[in-house]
Parts: sequence; structure tokens; C-alpha cells
Amino acid sequence: MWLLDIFKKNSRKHSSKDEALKRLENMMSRRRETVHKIPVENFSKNSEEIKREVVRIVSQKFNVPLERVKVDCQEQDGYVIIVTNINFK
Amino acid sequence: MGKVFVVTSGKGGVGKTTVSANLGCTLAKYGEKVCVIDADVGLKNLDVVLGLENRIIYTLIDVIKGNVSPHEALVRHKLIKSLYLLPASQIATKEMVSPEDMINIVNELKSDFDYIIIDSPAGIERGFRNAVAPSEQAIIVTTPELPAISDADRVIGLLENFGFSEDNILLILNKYKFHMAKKGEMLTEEDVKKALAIKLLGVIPESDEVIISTNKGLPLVLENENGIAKSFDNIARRLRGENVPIENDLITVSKNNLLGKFVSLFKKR
Repeated sequence: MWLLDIFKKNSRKHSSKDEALKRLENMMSRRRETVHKIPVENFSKNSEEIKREVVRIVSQKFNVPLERVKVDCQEQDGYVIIVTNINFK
Repeated sequence: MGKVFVVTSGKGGVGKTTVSANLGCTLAKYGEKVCVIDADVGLKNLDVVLGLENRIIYTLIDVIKGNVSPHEALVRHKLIKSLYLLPASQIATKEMVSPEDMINIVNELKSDFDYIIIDSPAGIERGFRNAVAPSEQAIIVTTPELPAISDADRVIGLLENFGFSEDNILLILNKYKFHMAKKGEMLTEEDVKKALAIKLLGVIPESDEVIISTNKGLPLVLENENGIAKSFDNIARRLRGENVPIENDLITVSKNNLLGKFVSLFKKR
């Protein structure tokens, strides 16, 4: 039996690189697309429209009604930060 | 007109300052006139790595305040005469510098140098934007670890938003452990390159030499010709337009590993 255990242990051994690759692929599939450049003029002209679009996307993505998603925009250090609050209950 | 590079990463501790210092030294060894700018205001280190911390009279802040010109604030390296440092101030904050200030300073220096290398602070806030603003090309330094790669990816996205094309963003894979990659315990240069989808400029092995050289205040490329210094040499030659295959870095990595083990056997005794 102990001989079988040795083989079992070896076959169970999983390369940490494989694990890293899987996690990396998962991370990369959703990272860079989160950065979108919006010119200041476009943003200030269409901020309400942008907020509505964010609400629509978030409500679809998380499967919650539109009214449960609140969006606010703040300018900080030269970046526009879109703060999204979802009420899941 | 000099070429302007920013060395950046997002994550701290990946080796931006080491790369900036050693790359600057290597290019200067080839006879290029190089200026390295420390954009890490408040947490400056480039002067320490270059061993020039006692020679600083004026800093970036003095230039911005108009007390001196950028040329007057430069510190010439004691051993390589074509290498200059524009030091950062330790008592100032990053908010005291604007991207426009950096553009003006670099524009004044550009015509007198072949290469200007800007050492960016970690993070993606004001200091990062200051360092990126005057740069034409970016060198992203990462290690083969997930947090560093993830941050590098975020920085690439930001650089693209700043108008950098993919061709102008280059990757350096630092602290590479050949024996771990070989055993399948660490991501390889191919894995990282594929994930970040930018051109790989070079691979630098993890080495004890970095700590020793920082202790001495002497960039390692000034003491050695082999080992990790060879990787910097390959990278400098690629920046100068030579066609040096990435495989050469991996040979260096492999040799460094085997030779390092062999040498350490004698050192212990």
C-alpha cells in the first residue's frame, strides 16, 4: 500500500506554474479593458448619459434592477473616478 | 536629440531603480551621453544606487523653483564621465512637480544627451504621470510573479491612454529564476510576454550582485562583465538598434545560475 501512496502523491503534485498561468489568464481577460479614455469635454457634456450607460451595464452584469445601481463621478488628481454602488438585497 | 525613456512598473520593488542605474551606466560605457532623472520625489534612491548621494547640491525642485537651470543641477558620475544624474529631493512631495515641469526640464536637456532615462516612482498617481509626460518610450519592469504582472498590465493600459503605441512600450523581465522556471515552478519569459503582449527587451536573472553593488554604491555593470551585467549589456545593445536575440539573455541566466552555484561553493569556505 505504501508503494501505491508514493505514486499517488507524485501524481497529485501540481505545478505551481500551471496554477499561476490559469490565474494569470483569468486576470488578463478582465484587466486592461477596464481603462477607457474619455476626453474631458465629452465627459462633461455627456456625464449623465455615461452614468446611465454604466448603470445599464452594471445592472445587466450583476443581474439587478436598474434602480438598485447608483453611480457617481468624481474628479481626483486628474482622473475621473466612477463610483458604482450596487444594492444586492 | 536624445531618446527619452521612462522606466516604470506600477508595483514597487521590482527593480526599476536598479534597471535605470545599470542601463544608464551600460549605455554610457558605449560612449553614449546619458542623463538619468530620478522622478521619485520624496523617496529618491537613484543617487544611492549610483553612489552619488554625497555629491548632490541641487535637485529637481531647485530647477522647478527656477533657482538653477537643469544643467546646473546635474551630477556627473565619478567613474563614467558621460553619465549624469538629475537628482530628486527627499524633502519635497510629488505634488510639487507637474507633468509640464518635467516636459520643460527634459526639453532643455534633450539636445545635449543621446539618452534620457527617467526613473518613475511606483504607483499610478502624480509621480507616475510626471515621469511619463516627457517620455517617448516606456520600459516596463516586471518580475515573473502575478502581482507584478497584473500591475504591469494596468500600467500598459494607462500608457496606451497617454498615447503610447504598443511599439513604444518595452518589457524587461527582472529577477528571473532560471532553475524555478525550468522546474515548472515559475512563469517563463514566454508566459509573461504572451500575457502582456508587448515586445520583450530583455531578461535579467535574480542575483546577489545587486545587493552587493548597492552596498558599495557602484552599479554592478561597472564591476563585472559577466553574469547579470551581460543581460544589461544585451539590453543596451538592443536599445542602440543591434539585433541581439533574447535567447542570449537566457544563456546568461543559465550560466549565472550554474556558475553562481559553483563559485558559492568556494566562497562559503
